Amino acid sequence: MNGKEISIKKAMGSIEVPDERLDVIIENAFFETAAPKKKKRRQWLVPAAAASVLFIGISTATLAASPAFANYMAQLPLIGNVFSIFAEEEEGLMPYERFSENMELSQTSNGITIAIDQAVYDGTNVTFTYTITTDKELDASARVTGIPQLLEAEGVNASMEWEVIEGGVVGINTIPHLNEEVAQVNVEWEPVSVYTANAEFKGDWKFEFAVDQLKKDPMVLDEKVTEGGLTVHFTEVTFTDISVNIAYQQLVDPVLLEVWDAVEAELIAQDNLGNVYEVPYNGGAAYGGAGTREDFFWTATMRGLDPEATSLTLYPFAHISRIVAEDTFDSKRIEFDALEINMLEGTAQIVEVKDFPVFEKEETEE
Amino acid sequence: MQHDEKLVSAAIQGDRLALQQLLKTEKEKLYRMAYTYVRDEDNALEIFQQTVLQAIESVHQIKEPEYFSTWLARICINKALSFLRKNKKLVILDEIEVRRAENQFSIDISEQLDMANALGLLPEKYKTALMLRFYQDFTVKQIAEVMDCPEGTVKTVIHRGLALLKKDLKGVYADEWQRDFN
Repeated sequence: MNGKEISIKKAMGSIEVPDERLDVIIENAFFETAAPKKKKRRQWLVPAAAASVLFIGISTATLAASPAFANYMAQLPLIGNVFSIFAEEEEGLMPYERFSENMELSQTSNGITIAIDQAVYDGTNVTFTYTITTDKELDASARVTGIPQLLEAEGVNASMEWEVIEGGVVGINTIPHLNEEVAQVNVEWEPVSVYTANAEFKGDWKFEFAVDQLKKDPMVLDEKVTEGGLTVHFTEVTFTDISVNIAYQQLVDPVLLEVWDAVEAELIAQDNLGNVYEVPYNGGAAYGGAGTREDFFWTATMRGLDPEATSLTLYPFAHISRIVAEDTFDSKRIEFDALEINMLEGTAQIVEVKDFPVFEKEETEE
Repeated sequence: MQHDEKLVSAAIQGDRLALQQLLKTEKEKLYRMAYTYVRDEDNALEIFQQTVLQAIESVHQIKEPEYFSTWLARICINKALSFLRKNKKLVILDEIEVRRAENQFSIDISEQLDMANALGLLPEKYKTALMLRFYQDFTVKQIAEVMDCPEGTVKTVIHRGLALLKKDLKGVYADEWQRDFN
């Protein structure tokens, strides 16, 4: 060591940081950007009559047999019913309740009972519902922490949706995992705590359960549509009892990324009866060998397909965006030709688009 | 740096206060990385702002809380590189001036250039890899994730980057971090 010793860490540490300006930038950025899109949801109120009917139904079967379980059930008039709570605001969720397995797993720790209610795997997403019940005071910010995992996949990207109700929380967790080959997948969920803005209640819960895959026939595709330097490549569509799952890639011409920073290809669908469906993506992944940093492989899931429909057309569209100046975003929408799927014949073809469908969101009450 | 997993999970799930807290924890590192690319406060602030905005827009896309730091570093690096490309002429002029200075005082360059400048003058990939390894303390695996290349490539880039620095600084940099790497 000598007096001239200089390290990268020390050298970079010596760069003067305009602390206050950085704080202002952070605070302004949060002030100026809209809050993340959150589904507008009617405040959920248990209809007293419905709850009591449910409770009576459950109590007939179980109360006499197990007083301890009966006590637990008395706090939980919602068992087997979580999907339908969310179905009030989300189209197409009811089949999830019908085709899901009842898990009926529950664990209590630190005065909080977490129960896995129902689960289903359609080859693209594992979806399970849970309920949290407790005597502890939970405010509207309550949620459970701890992301569920799949034994079959590393680094999964679970989406968690929940609703605070009187006496607890109900929620739906969804883990995307595309694999038609396996008969079942294994979920491991170790909730860490029930967390509120004012308090955190830690506990010792750990759930491990297998979920069978619904039977269905994936349709392998190799159809591409290209527009403005961006290609959407459909690779698979699967019709299940609960959903329509679509796998597709976005392939971006590197030239496009010389001007634009981000690319996001999405889908909207319309059946032959005129119904228009949202097709939100479950998540995207970039794999080794991707041509550009924005080449993503997506899966998207559509719910609530009209059982009378015989064909479904998938309309790809994309947004390319960039930051052009301080707090100013520039974005451009690209629309493509569509993919028409004949469900009776199991065939698919690219069709020219005359009128791009628009999904009309229903207004919900607060 | 490993962040509180709970805080990161909350941020991923849309808790804006959680994300704000995380960004404030990372602000110095992000700014200094940005500064090393552009060597100018105003431009570094612009990159920092773009990084923050992008983080707010896309935090929900993080797959695992443990990836937060690498994800954020990647945004900052991409913003910096994008900035450099858009302002190529400006940077080239800047580089020419420094190179002229180098030539003028090449007899004792180690006296003229400090480590920050030497690092700033390295080609982008060496600069990025060295900052991530020795400033952010990322593992080779994490750097491979950020730079989207195999771990072997990262090791090679770090070794070559160190060699270039050593050459520029005529060996005066020998210190603890070189021993840490392997």
